Amino acid sequence: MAEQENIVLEAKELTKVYRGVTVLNQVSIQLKKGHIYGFVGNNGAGKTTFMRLVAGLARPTSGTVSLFGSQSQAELERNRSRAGFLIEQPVYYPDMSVRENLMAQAKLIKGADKAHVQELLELVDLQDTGRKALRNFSTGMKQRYGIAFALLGWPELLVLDEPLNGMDVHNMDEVTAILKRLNEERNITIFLSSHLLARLSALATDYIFLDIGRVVEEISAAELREKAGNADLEEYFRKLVSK
Amino acid sequence: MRLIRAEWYRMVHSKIQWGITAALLLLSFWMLDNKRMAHVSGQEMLLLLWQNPLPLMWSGVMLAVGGFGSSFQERCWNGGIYKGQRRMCLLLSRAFFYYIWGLLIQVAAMAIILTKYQVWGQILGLGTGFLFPRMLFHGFFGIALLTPPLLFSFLFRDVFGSMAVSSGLTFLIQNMLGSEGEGFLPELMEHFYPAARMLKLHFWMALETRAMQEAFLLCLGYLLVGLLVSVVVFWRGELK
Repeated sequence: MAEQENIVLEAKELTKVYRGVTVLNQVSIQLKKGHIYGFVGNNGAGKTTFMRLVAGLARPTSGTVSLFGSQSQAELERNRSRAGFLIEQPVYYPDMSVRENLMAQAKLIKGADKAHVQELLELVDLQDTGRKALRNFSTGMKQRYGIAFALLGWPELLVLDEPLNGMDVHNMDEVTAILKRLNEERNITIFLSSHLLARLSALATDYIFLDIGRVVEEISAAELREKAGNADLEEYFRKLVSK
Repeated sequence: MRLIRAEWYRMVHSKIQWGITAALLLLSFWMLDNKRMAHVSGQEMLLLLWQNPLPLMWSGVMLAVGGFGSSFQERCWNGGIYKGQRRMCLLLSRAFFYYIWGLLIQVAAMAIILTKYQVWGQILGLGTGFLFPRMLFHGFFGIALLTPPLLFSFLFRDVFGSMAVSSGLTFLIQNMLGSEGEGFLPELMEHFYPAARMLKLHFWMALETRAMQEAFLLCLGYLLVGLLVSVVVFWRGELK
């Protein structure tokens, strides 16, 4: 029971087929509370598809997804409010400012008010953007907004698909530090995919490797360091998928 | 309730929404006003306004594309889904404001015209007991006219497709309306399109007449079928 309470996301034999092409094939994953999971795979491996299924943007062909122990579809939908998502690109109304976009979304969340929005803006350093419409922001700034958006209501789980896309080195350092701090201070479980494996290796406590729709390995960061020896994450992954 | 509050916030703070509103108000005023207005009584003016569905039809096209089609394109629906909102609730809360906003634009344009020709005294002299049920009925017609663009937005799920089909059909209908043409399409429209029905009804016709009741049922059918299909399509489909 205590073990079950620790599991924030569980996928059981999750499969997704698009027009005869199997994008995800019997993927079974369990994410434990308080960990940072690096979700690693080549382009087209199925990482984004998996996250879209968790977020409710698509429906699985077969298999199940459970968030925070949800037992039914209705409970799964309700429990989604306990997670925050940033998938492919941030969600925003292009003609509205950062603050307005966050406030519009905050109306959906109990307890999220102006002060909370201000707190998040300061966290991602977007508090001085004024009334500038989001459509005029750079990619990196939009991603920072996307992280603030995902953090509305202080979720217990963050699902981030390539959150460091379009960011310069300085921004990547800041965002990485923010994620690490959130995990340590608020015990937020983080599930993120990234092609920037060096960045990921500085953050993740566990890894899930995906290749052609299948999980090829699940391993903790400590175990990987022992197994890989002098090889870095990139080399390890390359060897793993070439087998 | 939270969804309603979120939708209200979005509408009030969206510059695009206000831009579309201003453009539609001008367009509606231009479409409703004509030279005949200066020479008719307040009651006749009300009939002319009642029997001109074009502003509502075009309001539907623009508001649906701005409120629904663009949300598919910009992935704005995803935000509500991420926060555990059901798709049907997302659709209905936005549809609620879509209908109200569309009708308010129509009412505002009509009010401007009535003010321009200074016939408020004659209008209000008809009595609220006469006016109010008819305004409600007119509003219901309006909702039926606003439904097809909403449906197309959910069927095509983008700005271009929604705009192309909605405006194309609206142009076609605009040309066929009131033309008394023969043929399959004009006859079909006469029986099954609310705007064509509106042209055959008088504003001060008794609401209990068969023609009014049939028109009411037709509008109700449009609303129910349009919303039902939109809900099903939205619920079943995948989002970007």
